[in-house]
Amino acid sequence: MSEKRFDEGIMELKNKYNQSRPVSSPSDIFQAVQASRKKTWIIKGYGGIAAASVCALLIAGILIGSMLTGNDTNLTGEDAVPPESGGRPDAVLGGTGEYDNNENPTDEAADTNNPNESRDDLDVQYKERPETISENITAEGMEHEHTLHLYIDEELGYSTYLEPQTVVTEDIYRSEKLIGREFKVTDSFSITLLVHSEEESSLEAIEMRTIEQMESEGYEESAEPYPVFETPDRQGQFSQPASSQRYYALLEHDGRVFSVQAELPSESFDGRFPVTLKSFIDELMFR
Amino acid sequence: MSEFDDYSCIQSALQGDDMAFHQLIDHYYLTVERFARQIGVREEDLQDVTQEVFIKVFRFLHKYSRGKFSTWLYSVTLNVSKDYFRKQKREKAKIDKTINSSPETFYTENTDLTDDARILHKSIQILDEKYRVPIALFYFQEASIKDISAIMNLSESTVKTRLKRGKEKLKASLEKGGRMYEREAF
Repeated sequence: MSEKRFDEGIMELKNKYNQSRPVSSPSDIFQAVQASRKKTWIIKGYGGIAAASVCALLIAGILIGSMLTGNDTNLTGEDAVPPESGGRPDAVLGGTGEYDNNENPTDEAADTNNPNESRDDLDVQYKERPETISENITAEGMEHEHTLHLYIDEELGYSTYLEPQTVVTEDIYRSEKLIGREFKVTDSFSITLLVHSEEESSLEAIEMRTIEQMESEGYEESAEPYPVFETPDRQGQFSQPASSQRYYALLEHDGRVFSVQAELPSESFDGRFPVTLKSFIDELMFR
Repeated sequence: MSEFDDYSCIQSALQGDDMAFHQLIDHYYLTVERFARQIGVREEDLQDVTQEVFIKVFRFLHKYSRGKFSTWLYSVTLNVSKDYFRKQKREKAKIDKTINSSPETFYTENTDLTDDARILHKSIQILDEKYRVPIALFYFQEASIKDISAIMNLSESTVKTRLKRGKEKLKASLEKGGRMYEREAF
């Protein structure tokens, strides 16, 4: 097939797109932005029902799902690295391990300039961030400041913000295609971060597996997610009556998928944890 | 609008100048809407997606620090659209549980397109996202490989590969569609 035929079709389509009548109005957009400014963090009071930490359950589910779909993720025996609690949210982790991008570039694609050159700025940027950030929280009519501290993970190439007393377990497991971190904020609230290589699975497949796992455990997708994360490529919230809320957020960066999961016991809705979780996800910055 | 003007508007907006942010909306809302349409957002959802993009831009404007503003804007649009696709997929799955068939919705203002352009449009809409997005950016938004790399957080070699494979798939689809129309003509 000729290049000319393809080019002409694309050009015609481009012209058609550019001539399409706009459906949005700048004034409506501006009004929507103005309305969104009035939102502040109001802690919801859902009543308290105690729930234990379910981090281990979440991870087990993910791993079972991963193994069922035939992925080579061995997390038992010698591959499971013993937990090493960093314990300092401002700790800079060591290590240099990185995943390869397994896109199998063609010869044409391989003949390119060094793409890392343009990433030098980002390399510095993800580490050179304010040491702390603060969110204003209103709980039971009282407003107070919630301060979070910068956390830099040099090995996996990201930074974000955590509560000061968060205990970080660097390798809840590690394989060639999957690395897991646990951020234990309190005994009842942890955040799990899984970094999948692109070879391990696609964003869509990881999301479907996550959803299937949650549904198989009796959770149903919530109609009105809270909190709503701003930056992920994919996100969702699942609930189980009289129990808890589970969240997932997936972010794709340079061939890897960063999967964040957390479970909030119902009692925790009456506190700071939704803000901590939202900040952890929305403040993720990659190398 | 030049990069300098973008910068001035952003700095003013960050200092609370609402009119400066309005200027950014005026200048870029069509870019956002067209890009969203090109990567598959349905006509009836374009307005909501475009609004959501600018809400996020406003909220996270302080995070934008360097580089081309349009590159960052495409990135935000892409994230909002992906989230929209996910919700759409989930809704469709729920509907499919009770209804056996659910017709695909395509952009319908294509009645005056040639067969080739219409086939390309439909083929792009059903392309895997990993090919659809760079194709739209490269061919319709005139983004460079370097820009697409920054927008999609991919290496330039990966972008080139995806463009090459995406184009091959579109050409194959065009060829197949062309034969189909030839058979119909006879």
